[in-house]
Amino acid sequence: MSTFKHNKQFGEAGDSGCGTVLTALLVIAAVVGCAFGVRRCNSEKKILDVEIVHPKGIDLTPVQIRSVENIGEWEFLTISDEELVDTTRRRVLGRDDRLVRIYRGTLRLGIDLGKAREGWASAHGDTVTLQLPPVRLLSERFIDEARTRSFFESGTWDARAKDQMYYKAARQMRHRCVTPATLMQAEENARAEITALFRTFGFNTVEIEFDKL
Amino acid sequence: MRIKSLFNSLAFVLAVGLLTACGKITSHQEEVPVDEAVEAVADSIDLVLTVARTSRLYTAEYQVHKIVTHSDVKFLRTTLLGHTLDTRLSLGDRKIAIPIDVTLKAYIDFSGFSESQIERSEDGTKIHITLPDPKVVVTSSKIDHQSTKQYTDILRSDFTDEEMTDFTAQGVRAILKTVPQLGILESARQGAAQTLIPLIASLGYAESDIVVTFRKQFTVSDLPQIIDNERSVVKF
Repeated sequence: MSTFKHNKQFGEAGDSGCGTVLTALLVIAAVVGCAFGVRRCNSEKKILDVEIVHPKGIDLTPVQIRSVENIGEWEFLTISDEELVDTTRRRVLGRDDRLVRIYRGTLRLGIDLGKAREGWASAHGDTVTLQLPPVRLLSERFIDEARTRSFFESGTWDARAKDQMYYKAARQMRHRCVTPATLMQAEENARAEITALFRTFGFNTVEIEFDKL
Repeated sequence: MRIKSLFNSLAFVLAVGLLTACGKITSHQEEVPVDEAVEAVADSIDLVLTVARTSRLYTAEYQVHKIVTHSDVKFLRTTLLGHTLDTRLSLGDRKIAIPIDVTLKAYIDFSGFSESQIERSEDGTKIHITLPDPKVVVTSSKIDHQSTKQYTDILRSDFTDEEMTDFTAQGVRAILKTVPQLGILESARQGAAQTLIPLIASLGYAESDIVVTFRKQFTVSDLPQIIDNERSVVKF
C-alpha cells in the first residue's frame, strides 16, 4: 500500500515537471517566432523600433562679429603644415598621462600693402616702378584649431596644458615654414605675379624693389 | 519560488527577443554621417604638407566669436507604426560650452586675371576693372581653453579632447553657414577698391575715372558654399 502511494506521488511529480518544461519550451518558441516575425516585418516597414539616441550635434548659438577690417594683404606663397605635439605628465604610481594632438595650420607669405610707403607706385611712359614692403608672414594667427586632431589622450588635461601645446605647435610651424628659402620663393613669385598683372595694365617694363625687413 | 524564477527567465528571453526583433540598441555615437565620412577622405589628402604659389589679394578680415555649446542627453526612441516617442533617459547629463575665435578673410585671386577684365575708354583716360569673384577662407581658429566650461554628472566622465575638437569643428562649419549674413562680400568689394584705386591712380588715372566692380551683384542665392579640398574655403 505504501509502495503504491509512493509510486503515485512520484508519477504526479514527474508529469508536473515535464509539463513545466514543455510549457517553457513552447513559450520560448513562441517568443522567438514572434521576434523573427516582427524582425521580418521591420525589415520591410518599420513597425516597432527601439533605439537609444545620443545626439552629437551642437546647439544653435549666435555668431558675434568682433571686428571688421579692410586690409590689403597680397599673398604669394601658401604653406599648409601640420605638427604633432605631445605632452606627458609623470605619475609616481600608475601610468603616466599623455596627450598627443596634431595641429594644422596654413602660413601665408606675402606683402602688406597697408605698410607700403607713400608714392610706392609710379609710372613713366610704359615703365612702372614699385617700392614694395618686405615679404613676410602675413598673420601670426595661422593655426586652424578646429581642424586639430586629438591623436591620443590619457588622464585629464587642463586649459593651461592645451594652450602650451598650441603655442608650441605655432612655434614649430613657424620654424619649419618661415625660412630664408620660403621667403625668397615668395619674393620671386611676387615679382612674377606683379609683373604679369601690370603688363595687363599696359606697362611693358615693371621695376620692383622690396624694402628690407 | 521555481515559478518566480521561471517567470524571470521568460521575461529576460522576451526582452532579448523583442530587442533582437527591433534591430539593436544603437548609439548615434558610432554612426558616421555621410558628410563626415567624405570629410575624413579629404583629411587624408590634406596630410601632405603643401607649398603653393598664389596671388591672392586679401581685402577684408572678420574676427568672429561663437560659444559652441553641446548638451549630452540620451533618449530612448520608440517607433511604433510610424509614430515616434522620445523618452529622456536619466543616465546623467553632460554639458559643455566652448568659446571659439575665428578669423575669416575675403580675397580676390589674381592668378587668373587677364587683359579681358580691363576696359579702357577710347581716349585712354577712363578705366574699368572687373575683379575675379571673391572667396572667403577661414585663416585661423582658436579655442579659448581658459573659458571653456563643462558640467558633468557624477556618473559620467568628462568630455574627451576628441569630443571637444569635434564640437569646435562643428562650430566653425556653423559660422561658415552664416557667411552670407555677415556682409563680408560688400566689405571685400570696399577693401578691393581701397587698395586698387590709389594704386591705379598713381599710374596716371584720375580717381574719378577708375571703376572697380565685381562680375555681377552677388546675392545670397549665389552662395552655393561649395566646400573644396581645402575645407574652409567658401566660393562665391
